[in-house]
Amino acid sequence: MAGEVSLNGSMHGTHDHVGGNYLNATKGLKSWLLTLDHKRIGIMYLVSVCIALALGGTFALLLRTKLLHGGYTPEAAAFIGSSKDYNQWMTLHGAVMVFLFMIPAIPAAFGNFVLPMMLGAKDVAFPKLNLFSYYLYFTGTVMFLVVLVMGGLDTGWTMYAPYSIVHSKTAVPYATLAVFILGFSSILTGLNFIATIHKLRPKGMTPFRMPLFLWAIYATSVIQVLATPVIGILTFMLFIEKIMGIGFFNPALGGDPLLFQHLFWFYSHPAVYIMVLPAMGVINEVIPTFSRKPIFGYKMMAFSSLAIAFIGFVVWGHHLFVSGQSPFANVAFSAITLTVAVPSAIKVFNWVSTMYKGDIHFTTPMMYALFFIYLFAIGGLTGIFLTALPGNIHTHDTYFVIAHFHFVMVGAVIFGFLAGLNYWWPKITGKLYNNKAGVLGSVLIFLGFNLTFLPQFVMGLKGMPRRYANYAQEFEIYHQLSTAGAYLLGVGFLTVLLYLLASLAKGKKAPSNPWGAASLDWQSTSPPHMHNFEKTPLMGDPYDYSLVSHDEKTGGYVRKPGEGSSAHH
Amino acid sequence: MSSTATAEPAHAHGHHGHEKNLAHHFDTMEQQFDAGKIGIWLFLATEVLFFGGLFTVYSIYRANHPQLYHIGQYFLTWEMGAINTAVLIFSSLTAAWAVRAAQLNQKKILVSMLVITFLCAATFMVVKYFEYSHKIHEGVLWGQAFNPSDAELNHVIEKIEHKGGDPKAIEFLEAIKERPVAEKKDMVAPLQMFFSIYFFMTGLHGIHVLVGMGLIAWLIVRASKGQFNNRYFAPVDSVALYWHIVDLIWIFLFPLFYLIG
Amino acid sequence: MSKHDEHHTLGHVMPASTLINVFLALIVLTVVTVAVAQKDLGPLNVWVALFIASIKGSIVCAYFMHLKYDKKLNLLIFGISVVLVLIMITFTIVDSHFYYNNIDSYQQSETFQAAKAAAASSAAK
Repeated sequence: MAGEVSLNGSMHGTHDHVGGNYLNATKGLKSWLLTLDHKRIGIMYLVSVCIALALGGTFALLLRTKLLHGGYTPEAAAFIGSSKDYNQWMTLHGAVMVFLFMIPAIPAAFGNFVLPMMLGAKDVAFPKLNLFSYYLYFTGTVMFLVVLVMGGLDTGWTMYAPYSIVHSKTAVPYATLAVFILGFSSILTGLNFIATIHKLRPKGMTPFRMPLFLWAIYATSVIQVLATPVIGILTFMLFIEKIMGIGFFNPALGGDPLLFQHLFWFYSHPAVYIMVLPAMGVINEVIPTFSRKPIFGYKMMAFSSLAIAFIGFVVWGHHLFVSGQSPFANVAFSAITLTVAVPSAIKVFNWVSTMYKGDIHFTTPMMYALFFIYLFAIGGLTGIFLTALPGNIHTHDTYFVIAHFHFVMVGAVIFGFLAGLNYWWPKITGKLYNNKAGVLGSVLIFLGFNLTFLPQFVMGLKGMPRRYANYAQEFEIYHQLSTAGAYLLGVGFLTVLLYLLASLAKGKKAPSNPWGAASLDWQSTSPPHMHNFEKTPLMGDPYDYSLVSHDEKTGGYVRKPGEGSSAHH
Repeated sequence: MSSTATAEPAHAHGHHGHEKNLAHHFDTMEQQFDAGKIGIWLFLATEVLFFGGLFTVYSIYRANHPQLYHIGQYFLTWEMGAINTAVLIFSSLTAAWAVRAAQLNQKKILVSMLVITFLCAATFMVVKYFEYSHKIHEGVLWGQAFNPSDAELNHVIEKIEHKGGDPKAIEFLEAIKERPVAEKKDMVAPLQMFFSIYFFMTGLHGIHVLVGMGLIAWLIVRASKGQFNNRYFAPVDSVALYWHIVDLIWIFLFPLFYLIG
Repeated sequence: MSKHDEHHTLGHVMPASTLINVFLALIVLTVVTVAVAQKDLGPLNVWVALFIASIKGSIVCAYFMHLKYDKKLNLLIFGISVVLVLIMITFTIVDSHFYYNNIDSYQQSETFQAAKAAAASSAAK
């Protein structure tokens, strides 16, 4: 066991020595752009996905502003932009959020930063590939910006054929290439993480001693590696179709448009789990830490992540219920989809059970985690309405669907992302932030989110179709509430930005382990050493909070010397 | 799988053996080798799914339009496909032998096996070039560009007759001969899908062969500098695995396009 | 991991005789598949060709790609990818049999003629 290297007393004092941490070990732009350090690559991803989030959010605000008034009078129609502009904003909001933000957000940013540290490893298995993967992401992002200049995109983020190949006059070929490149970035990240988790676990780090975040990232990586190639080949086909007219998906040339949807959702449904599983992983860390209790049902949590990943591969047909898919396939996909509810519910029950009789600390990450449970429960339950075939036919392509997947995608991914950002912020930057401002930001985002999307459930059930720039007067009040919510959401994000910037500028120095978490990443200094750990970390149960004790001098927690508990033999 | 992964101890500041090809974040060459293997196999899995999307397209059209494939097959020359199959299988042998040579520190054999593999790949592309250029010349192309010349149609009809073949297919091809281009295009509409799929799949496979040639050339340079030995040959191993998957895909493409009608 | 086995060869070394035998088997199977294809077996054509190709593929995987001697994890990774492709193909084929009549009837409709004209004009640009 790694206990041969003892921790000489507390770890305080090591965190404030200058020159050794990953942020200042080497200097200059080149040391960042060509870095092979997983932590720096993680930071590069973090900054990039935040920019993408801002960009996608801007499109959201534009389209919500457009929807403030129905276009039933000429004055209202002229209020902001044309319907064509609306189509572009709607498409670009979806495409930027999905491909540039949600897919890389948690795995690539936090996964890169904390995965090797949670394992007790020095880096990911293939550091050069990791950097290459970042630059693929960067190239894809730049191509999306090119799309903006080259005429935008108005196909919806799904780029369904035959509209995208026959009718759309926008920059579809550039967008398909961008998605192709981004897909490879995602594949390589997943490949790297799987190899890392299998081969770089040090002695003592058994699979069931891994924090559940790693199980979630592992399940995510499996999907990234196995599903993403299909969207890769599909976008490539679309690209070739567009420039050479091969007609795979064009019924006028004997092609099959439903085949496009089959292939598209073979990737894009599992992609939903690429987004949500890592967010669940973050929640798995946050809730036990701030309840000061071991996670309830560790193994069920670990296996439910894998179960979600594998079931996720065989449910894609539920996106095609009214597309002309056969009744046979409809019934089969509907039934399989319902089984996803089981592992999802296991997770929700386990989070709640973890908190039961716990010593709950309402810190900023915990606020996001609590909101996450509420939002994910609503998002998940409305998913059942949509899975049931009759319910789906009524609500298909209405705002009910929009509200449902925003509860899951925004509720889960953004709240999970913000929980992770606030949780690991002291570790990443070495600075503390103002918790009151953090809680305020989380409440604003939560209120804004509900105001935006709860009315959408109602108007969806009343028949408001999605992707329309115009609507009947009866829907106006819901749209206006929704738009007000979107702006409140924007204010919430600005709050987060402001207190985090303030923390960077003059935040208090963070102790190694400000939250009292028991996973290995908190045994490094804040910010961590260039090689992650100055001393071999002590293995132990990642959720045994008796392994750490409060240290008055630093205001943080320290790992007690000696071997870890034997909870998971 | 997990039991194999916990064998090696980790040290915060590793003082591993003085093997120069060992990266700093690994403890042993074995660990590094195994990690690399997992990485390359995951990559091969993505290749399987990448082509899997195309095989799905192939299957959908084959299942619903078997007649396309029946006629389309006669436009292809199976002898050329067979030669290429043999060439690729032989190159797979030499690629596998190159790995063996690297494992046994046989530098000369390693280099010569890599050179043979490279030459086989080049042969494959030359044969492919003749196939493609003939088709382009005769207008046997993808999608809307499909506009076969009458000479080519006659040739195909002869082939079917020679095989004692299907009167329906002959009737179809006879009917589209000597028609104005626009009308002919209309009639052959279903057939163009066969060639869209043919060019897409073999073209993408051809790109993989070209990439493989680049990788093998890189290996030849490194191998002749003596950079590989029995402790460090992961690049040879990985490229060989990639090369085998290229061969493997061709093993399926060959009968699916050239042989079965 | 320790000093004394530092010079052990990594991985499994495939005997030369196995490599050559595998090569010969692959060539024989290629000849077989070509020979079988000269006979028209009706709908069996595809299945026979796929069966032979699968045998060839398995041999390549097992010996040339060392899967038989490799860590089982690598076999698992590759196996899952193949299974997923089969799932993808099976579901879509089964489904397409149900909906394909829609495409065929569309192609006989007037809407189709209009769409075709649109496609032709967009391709001409």
